[in-house]
Amino acid sequence: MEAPRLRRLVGPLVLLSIWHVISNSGLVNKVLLPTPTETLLVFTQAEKITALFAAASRTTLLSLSGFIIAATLGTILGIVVGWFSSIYDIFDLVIEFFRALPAAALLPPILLLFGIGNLAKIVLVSFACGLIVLVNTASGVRRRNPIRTMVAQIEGATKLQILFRVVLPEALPSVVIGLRISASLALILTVVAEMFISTDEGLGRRIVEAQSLFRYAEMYAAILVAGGLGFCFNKALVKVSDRFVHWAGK
Amino acid sequence: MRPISVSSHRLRRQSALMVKETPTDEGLKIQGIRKSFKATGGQSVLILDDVTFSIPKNKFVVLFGPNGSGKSTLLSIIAGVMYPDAGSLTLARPGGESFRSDLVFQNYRDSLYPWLNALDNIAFPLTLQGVPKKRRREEAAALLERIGADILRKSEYLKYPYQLSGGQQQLVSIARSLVTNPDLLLLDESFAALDHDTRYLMQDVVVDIWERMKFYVLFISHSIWEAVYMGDILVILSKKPAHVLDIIDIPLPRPRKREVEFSQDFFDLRSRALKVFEEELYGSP
Repeated sequence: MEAPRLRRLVGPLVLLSIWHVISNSGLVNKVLLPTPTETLLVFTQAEKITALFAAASRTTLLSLSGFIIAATLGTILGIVVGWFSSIYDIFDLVIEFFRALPAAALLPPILLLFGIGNLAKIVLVSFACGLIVLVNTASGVRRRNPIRTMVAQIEGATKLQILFRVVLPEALPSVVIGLRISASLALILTVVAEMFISTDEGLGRRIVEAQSLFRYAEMYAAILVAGGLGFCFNKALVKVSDRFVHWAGK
Repeated sequence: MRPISVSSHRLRRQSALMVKETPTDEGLKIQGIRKSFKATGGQSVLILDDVTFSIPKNKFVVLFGPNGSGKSTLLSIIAGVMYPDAGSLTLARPGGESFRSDLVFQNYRDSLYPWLNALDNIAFPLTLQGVPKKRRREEAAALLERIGADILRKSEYLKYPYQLSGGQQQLVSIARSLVTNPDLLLLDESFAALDHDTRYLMQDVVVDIWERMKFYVLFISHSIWEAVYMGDILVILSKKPAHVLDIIDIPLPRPRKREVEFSQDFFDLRSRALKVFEEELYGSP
């Protein structure tokens, strides 16, 4: 490996070392903070791996479903809101309010309305993430460059052609930013919801359960998996972004 | 004589332009154009006041005027994206009534589509007309080869605007305006964003393209030197509200070489234009 790639490993190693030192130092109760080695040993036990993998799959499936619904509806509604100024004016305050509202606070009412199952989780994720995609898409459509539209007009483009060939590609970088934020938020909200709703075995559930059963190494292992999942989500979207909006900001 | 949409068979854009059939080509007459805008506060501000001049065939017409004198407004009206409050645009020439104009903007960064490569940017107008991808790329490549072989090489045709130099990007934007074979090409300070060397080069490139394709041309310039070097007719606008101060013929021989810039004729023409312009700005000396 070349030097820069090796350098990237230094940070994680330093962090693991600090963790190791603290948990061995007696500063904190060792039972509450197992060493990294103990935590990583969880990943050598076949049945634990299976359980963690199942939990991670559940969490992924849930957040992905919510994310896909949010991406689809958010983009379509964002285009409508961004394209028609009158619709934007009407809904601006409502959208801004719900976007500013901490989404997790909506979980209790959503539980009341949609029951304590996966539906509630997906509704929460789709709603919160959908708003973010919507806002970013709408702002991308609204902040378009008037000259690029004028070029298309001079070339005789129809309204529909201007929308699909000029305005949408121009809004794409903004849409992708919305998708990136949403992907992280989808995972956060899914895990939070899983902690509240004990109907199935997602990562959030595993973390809470391990904590209440005093299996702290397993708790930290599940947290690491959740972190890894979020990391992968973000990496995947960076790839999408590099592929489709490589020209953004240049 | 009747109003038509510009190039009626494929464009939906309405224009103030009228086409008249005449036995000889009398060119494009811009007559008494007046335009005002609503300013903040409600009162209207007169931008163009009775602008009159013409663009004959085979003459390179350059428009020169002070900052904010409404040159771009005038171009938008001629291009058909804006309506004048009064005045007329008449094209009098033999042949059919189908007429198309196109506009090259000053800033290629704003006017090119960053998500399309050079070839697809040029072919964009063809995309709107539903020309299949393969054919429109062929047409764009053929055009590029004709007008810009020295500036953009074949290996660079699929590059994106951000991967090209300023001169190359402006060439792409000029080529995009030419791909549908317009009858009139409008250039709005199209070299203002280029560095000095590239500007030199592009002046010759544009005149060369025009000499070969012979469209009507109106070139807005911010530089008297550039205006005299490129033009056959120099139209000088007044301060806002703009009207035509003077129209100067530039009888320098073509094809022009850069040496012409050092000739007495060039110097005299430039001084004459400068004098008109400075008297307008600062009053008589």
